[in-house]
Amino acid sequence: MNTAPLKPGEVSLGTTIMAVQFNGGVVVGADSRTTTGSYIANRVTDKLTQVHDHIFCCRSGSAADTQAIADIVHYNLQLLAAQEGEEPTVQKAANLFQQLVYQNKDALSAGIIVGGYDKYNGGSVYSVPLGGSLHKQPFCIGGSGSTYIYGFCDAEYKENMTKEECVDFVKRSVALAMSRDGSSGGVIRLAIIDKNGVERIFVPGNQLPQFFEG
Amino acid sequence: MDSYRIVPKANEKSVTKSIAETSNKEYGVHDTFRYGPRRLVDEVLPPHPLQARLENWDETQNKLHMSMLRNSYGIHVPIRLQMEKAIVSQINRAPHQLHSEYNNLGLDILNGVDNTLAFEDFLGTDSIPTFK
Repeated sequence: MNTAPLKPGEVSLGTTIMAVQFNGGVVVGADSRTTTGSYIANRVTDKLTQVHDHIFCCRSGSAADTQAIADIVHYNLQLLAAQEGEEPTVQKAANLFQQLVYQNKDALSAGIIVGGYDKYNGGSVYSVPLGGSLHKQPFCIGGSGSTYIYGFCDAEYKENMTKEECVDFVKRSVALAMSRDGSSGGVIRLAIIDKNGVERIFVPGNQLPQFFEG
Repeated sequence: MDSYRIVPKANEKSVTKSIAETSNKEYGVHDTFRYGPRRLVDEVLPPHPLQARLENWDETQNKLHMSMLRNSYGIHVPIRLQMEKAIVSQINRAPHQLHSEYNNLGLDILNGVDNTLAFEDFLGTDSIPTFK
């Protein structure tokens, strides 16, 4: 199990990432801060990476490691789509991430949340944390900022939320985490994935939901 | 075996070998039969952590690619690709080819490095002549 901190000079996605499933799709969201130590290397990062038409992954941990893994999975999903003549399911994508993270666990520092839509299962959210286990959940939070919002998410989550309620839930949760976690901040990037495609939402830093700041 | 290993493991041990690990129980000398010929370099210098990684780099990347192809298309794709490489690697000893054991255009093409220049193409070593 890789418990070592990032290697010297390595860029970290100390982060807040989140994905919530609704009937007919998923909402994925993330903050936008990438740090090398205390310097913010990128304050408008896009941590939501599209690995297929209707499948996104949220990346946390080492920026390089997660980009490398996402590239391999993207390539592999294209092979599968070509072979099978239809889009791969979210479960296949999640399993690919899981295989890569588990078999390379001594070398990687990558926590990934996979969210997407396929026609057989609707929206699904899978979590692949550091060790390389796989968890299917109705919603999932990850990254260093997620520790500050576990209570909030547990209290606020309801089953059978509509798309708009999910977007609001993700926005408020990520905003709360960003205000407390030093490694999370910047803007909020969201993506809504359903059978019609992907809609990206950008929430600039001066339009974040406001909460008690004391 | 399916392997989704992206990068080879680095050398874990950075210590020199001692004769105690490879000695024959009865006579106390290096046991050549069990462990191969004795190498003094192992007893004087520790292996560099990068050495294992660099030596196995190409093989690991190739294995990852073959695993992906096997799982997406079936066992026949990696088998065909490896068969092609084996056919092309058979030494023909064509008299017109200089150093055909180091230059294999067909293998370079199959490996996708026919248009690539790397350090081994302009830096010579003892085993690879400089006028490649």
